[in-house]
Amino acid sequence: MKRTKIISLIVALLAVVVLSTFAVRSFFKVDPPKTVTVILKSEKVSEFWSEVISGIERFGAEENIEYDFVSSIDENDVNGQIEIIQEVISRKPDGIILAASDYYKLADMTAKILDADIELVLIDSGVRGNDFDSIVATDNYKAGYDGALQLMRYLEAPKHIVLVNHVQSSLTAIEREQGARDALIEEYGDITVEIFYCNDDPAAAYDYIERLHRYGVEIDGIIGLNERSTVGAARFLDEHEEASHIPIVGFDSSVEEIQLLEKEVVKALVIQQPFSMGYTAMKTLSEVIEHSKVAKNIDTGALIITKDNMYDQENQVILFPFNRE
Amino acid sequence: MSKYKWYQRFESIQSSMTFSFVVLIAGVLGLSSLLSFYFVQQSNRESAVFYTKEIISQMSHNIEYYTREMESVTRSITTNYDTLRYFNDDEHMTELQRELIRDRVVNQLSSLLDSRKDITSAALFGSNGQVISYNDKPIRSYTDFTRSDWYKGASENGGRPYITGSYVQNIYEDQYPWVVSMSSMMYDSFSKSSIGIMVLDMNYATINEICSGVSLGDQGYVYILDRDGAVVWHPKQQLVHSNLYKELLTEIIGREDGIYEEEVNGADKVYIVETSDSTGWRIVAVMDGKEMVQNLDQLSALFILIAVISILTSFFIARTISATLSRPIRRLKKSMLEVQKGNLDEEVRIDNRNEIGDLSHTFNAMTNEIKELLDANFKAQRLKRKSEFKALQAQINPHFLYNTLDSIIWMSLANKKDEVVEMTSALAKLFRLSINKGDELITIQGEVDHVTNYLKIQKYRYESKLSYDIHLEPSVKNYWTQKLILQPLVENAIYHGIKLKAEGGHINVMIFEDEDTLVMRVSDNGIGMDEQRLGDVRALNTSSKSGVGTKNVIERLKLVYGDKVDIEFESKLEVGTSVTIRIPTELMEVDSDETHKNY
Repeated sequence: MKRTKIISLIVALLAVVVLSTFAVRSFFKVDPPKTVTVILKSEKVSEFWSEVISGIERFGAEENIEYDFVSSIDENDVNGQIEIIQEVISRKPDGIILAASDYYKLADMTAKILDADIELVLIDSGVRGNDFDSIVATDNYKAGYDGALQLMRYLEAPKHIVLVNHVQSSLTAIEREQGARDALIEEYGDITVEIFYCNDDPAAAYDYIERLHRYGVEIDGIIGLNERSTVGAARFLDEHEEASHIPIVGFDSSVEEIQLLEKEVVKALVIQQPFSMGYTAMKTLSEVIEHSKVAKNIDTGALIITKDNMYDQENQVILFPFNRE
Repeated sequence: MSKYKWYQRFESIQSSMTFSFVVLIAGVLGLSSLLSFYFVQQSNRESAVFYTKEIISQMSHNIEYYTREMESVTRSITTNYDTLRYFNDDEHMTELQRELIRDRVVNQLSSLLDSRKDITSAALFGSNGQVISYNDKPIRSYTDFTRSDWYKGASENGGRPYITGSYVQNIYEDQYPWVVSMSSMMYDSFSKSSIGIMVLDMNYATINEICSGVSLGDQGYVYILDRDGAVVWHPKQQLVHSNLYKELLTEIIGREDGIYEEEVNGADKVYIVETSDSTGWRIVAVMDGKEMVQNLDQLSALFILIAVISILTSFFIARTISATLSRPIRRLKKSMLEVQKGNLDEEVRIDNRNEIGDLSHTFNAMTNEIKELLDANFKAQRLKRKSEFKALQAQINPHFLYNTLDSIIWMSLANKKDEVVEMTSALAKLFRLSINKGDELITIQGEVDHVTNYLKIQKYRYESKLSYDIHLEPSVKNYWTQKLILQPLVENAIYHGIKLKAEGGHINVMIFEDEDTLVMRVSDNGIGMDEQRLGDVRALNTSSKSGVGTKNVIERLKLVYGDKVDIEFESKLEVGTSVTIRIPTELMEVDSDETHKNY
């Protein structure tokens, strides 16, 4: 009698367990959303960053993620970014995506973020040390190297190449410059690689090329290492028939650059994939928060765009942000 | 419980019946649930596929309707009188007239764009090199539009309008919109020769409306590819383009319309492909394999619920039924066990009018019969023992009498008058007790007197070979006991212990009270017994005459006092034998009449 009672008790318990499991599964399927704060480096949103943001937003909308954006005033406002990071740490989100404005000065802050048990994915630019879960960026050295290789297609025994760069302190700029210079020296050996910093001002780039031209300096090729530098140098070539034979390879993309490319003033553009970068960064962070293993370094890659391939399906998507609405 | 194997637990009728019931019901239920689950799943899947096919063919209709609408919009421009005149290079027209006509065409295009939100741009390219665009929008000089898809498509489509995939329109200055274009050749109404191409660019407003209105569950969606496998519309278009989301593109283009099961991004997907005739677009519906059967989760929960409830119910029903059947059987079994143990008063009360009821009636009858038989047997035994006892009591050992009388003769001849008197008197007392009316009880004092007389007589015979001691505790002398208990034991001690010993021996009789027990002990220092014989005596397992005497004493004591009486034999070869009888005093009556004499 006692045994049968025990058996019925076990059966009843089992039934309760099975049923409640089902009930719980169907009624409490929703996890609380992950919270993510994206810390950018400038309030001025360029085309590049607006694509990064839309990549981030795209993944954020696909998954159950609550995200917000904060930013320092501009790229030089390093202390402002440090203050913002401190404020964000005190809010304790699950994760942070950080576009670091300084390679050296932010290294301590990234360590603090991790110490506060917040996951950290760096985007676009790195910081010194290893205090982050993953970095999603373009391999800028490789991009610079590839850009120089592309320029070589339009060169014949060059003597003098001008690299127009934006700012001396930017790690992105330095890496691209290094890549381009290495490729040129490897190929030609005895060659003058002149570097001009235009401080992100197209007019300065324009003036510099004009000055060289005016003084009769023979220029065999130009590489504009970011959008502003490219546009400045290319405008001069576009406006001066006698200089239009000089090949120029640019970086990044904007409507003006695309038009210059279509006019064949600019021979090729090396473009990053900002949407992909934003999307991948958010995806990676989401995976880190879920405790999946992720790669420490993720290169979202750079593409070489020429007039011939710019309207190829895969390239036009990156050149011309897709917006159905 | 562990000493049973699991199947032995089902050896009782109730548990095996319950088990079989539950297994049967659960089996039938489980099988039918599985089958119905399978069929529901199949039909769910089929209806999902059917529903989706309906949806995409509806989509295909909508797209065709939309393209026909665009075709008629295009035709309204290309067949327009002004358009034809302008591109026909009418030499009779003045420059002013040309300007006027051009203005009218531009206005027509512009008002068309104003009235329709889904058309972003439109332009006419004449074979004569003339270009008219909406709002007179500047056309880029450095763009070679003859290389674009829309231009080539229209030229090669034999007069029918051509629909492009989605692409970036780059003919207008300063703008790069993503569009889908319809391009169409313009023909002179008279000569039927080609005079140019019209291109009409559509944004995604209408296509969005057609596509995103479709709902195929949380995971399902629809996308559209053009003839080359380029994406026209996809809910994750940008992700697909950026290779962040893997989608079947050229894989679909190589296939016929139909249903395909694929594993994409690690999930089971069902692809349904249909071609829209007017555009050549492939409309693809993707359904999540799991989701197609997802609402079955609830169904399966319901199945499990029903199964659990039915198994529980069947368990209790089975238990009740089997208990009703097996309870009387168990009661019968219990009674039988009682009877087996010897309790014949057990009676089964089962009122069932079935076989088990009959069985228990028969069983009761049988027990009664056995009880009567046993009673009869017991009475017979008692009678037999009584007669044996009587016989023993009546028994006078002829040797003893002969020897005693012989001793008296010798004493008379020797003129030992006093001894003769004493011995004869003892003999007389001995016999009086033996033939005493049949009273079975005697006081301890009487019994001691009796054994004293017996020993007196024997002392005359054995003289110095026999010595004895009788110790009687005065407090016990008034207890009533069975008569002729001590004398047979003393007789045995003489004949089997002392007589056989050359130097003779001593007999010690002790009667005393030890706590609540009366102890009677007869011990000698005769030849004793070995282990085997002692064992025989203890087991009353003997056929010798002396054994009969002891056995009779023990049986009579047991008869009266039952198991409460304790008889203990101790013996050692060459040392002696001792017999101790212990009777609880509570079983014995006390003689209050001091003067009473039994002899």
